[in-house]
Amino acid sequence: MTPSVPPAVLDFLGRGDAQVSKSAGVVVLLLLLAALTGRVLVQSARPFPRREGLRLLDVVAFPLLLVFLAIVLERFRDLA
Amino acid sequence: MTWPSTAPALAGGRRGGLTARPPAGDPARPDEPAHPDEPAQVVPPSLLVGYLCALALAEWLLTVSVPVAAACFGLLASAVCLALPLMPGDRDPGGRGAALLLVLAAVPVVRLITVAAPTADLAPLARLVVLAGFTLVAVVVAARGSPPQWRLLRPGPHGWAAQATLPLVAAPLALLVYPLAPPAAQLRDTVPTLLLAAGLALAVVPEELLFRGLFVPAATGVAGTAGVPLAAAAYAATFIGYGSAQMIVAALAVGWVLGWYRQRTGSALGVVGARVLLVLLVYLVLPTLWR
Repeated sequence: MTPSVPPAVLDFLGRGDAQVSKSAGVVVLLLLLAALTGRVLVQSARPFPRREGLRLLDVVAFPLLLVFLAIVLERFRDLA
Repeated sequence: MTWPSTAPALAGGRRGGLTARPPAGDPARPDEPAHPDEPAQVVPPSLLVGYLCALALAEWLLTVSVPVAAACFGLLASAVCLALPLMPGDRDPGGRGAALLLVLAAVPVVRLITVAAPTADLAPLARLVVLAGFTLVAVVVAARGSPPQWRLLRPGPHGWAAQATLPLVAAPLALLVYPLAPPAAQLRDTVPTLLLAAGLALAVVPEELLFRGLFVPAATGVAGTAGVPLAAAAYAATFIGYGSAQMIVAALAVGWVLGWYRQRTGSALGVVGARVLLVLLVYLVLPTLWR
């Protein structure tokens, strides 16, 4: 298949709505916070944490953390 | 060319941890299946179908409201995470259900990243490469929890020869895809050919690793032979946002064919090569011949 980004998403990105203070950025932030909170809770589980749970939350948290950092850096660049 | 199926080996991912259990057919535990390679019913296929419907709905919402679609992707990823505690470890042979959940969570996260990543200022090809980088992170983290039998970047039981010949399947697929989903002109006309080829190859590899490398064996592990069409449907669902039925049909065909080969050969190497060749044929070769 031919790789590209859907036209509706391109329009959305062009309006700058993906920034962290806007709609999509808020979704990223909320999901990231939920995943990180869940990870802390799973890690503190007794008698021992379920390894699959940690991996699952890592799948959600790691890429979103990188995207969040990219969004924040983009905001700093816009402010500069 | 025919290869003996490696589906049992793909499906039978056995790991340690909480989901480990004694060998199947143990007379002390008569409720266990006698054949360890049978698809596990820990995640009913109907739930997988429900997941696909939710994914398709979120993708369709991209054409209506992108923020709402982003929220749906987030909700879907959260729902997959919440499903893990409902899955009793002693009824999850080889951690198949947990391995499937890793993949099911990765897909909406990748789709959310497509919407939310700050790529507005980038050129089209650079945007694809950056998004592929984020996708690769999700794939690598998900692959850490996958059974070694899934063989993402190692040749399967049929060796390198089978993997090296598999990309040839890209030629007929390209003839099918090109009229149905022609390449975006914004990519073809703006960068030199070599740069375009390298960028396209980088852009499709993580996606292929996710949908064929991880999704196909995960779905096959819980749904048996229905796993390949289900994985193809999940891949095709990610094209709903384009609003083109032809593109969805082409994606379904590509997903089904490459998924079948991935299951038969027991490795993702060959289908990754086929996908790279497919996109190069569609973008660089066929436009010059089709005039």
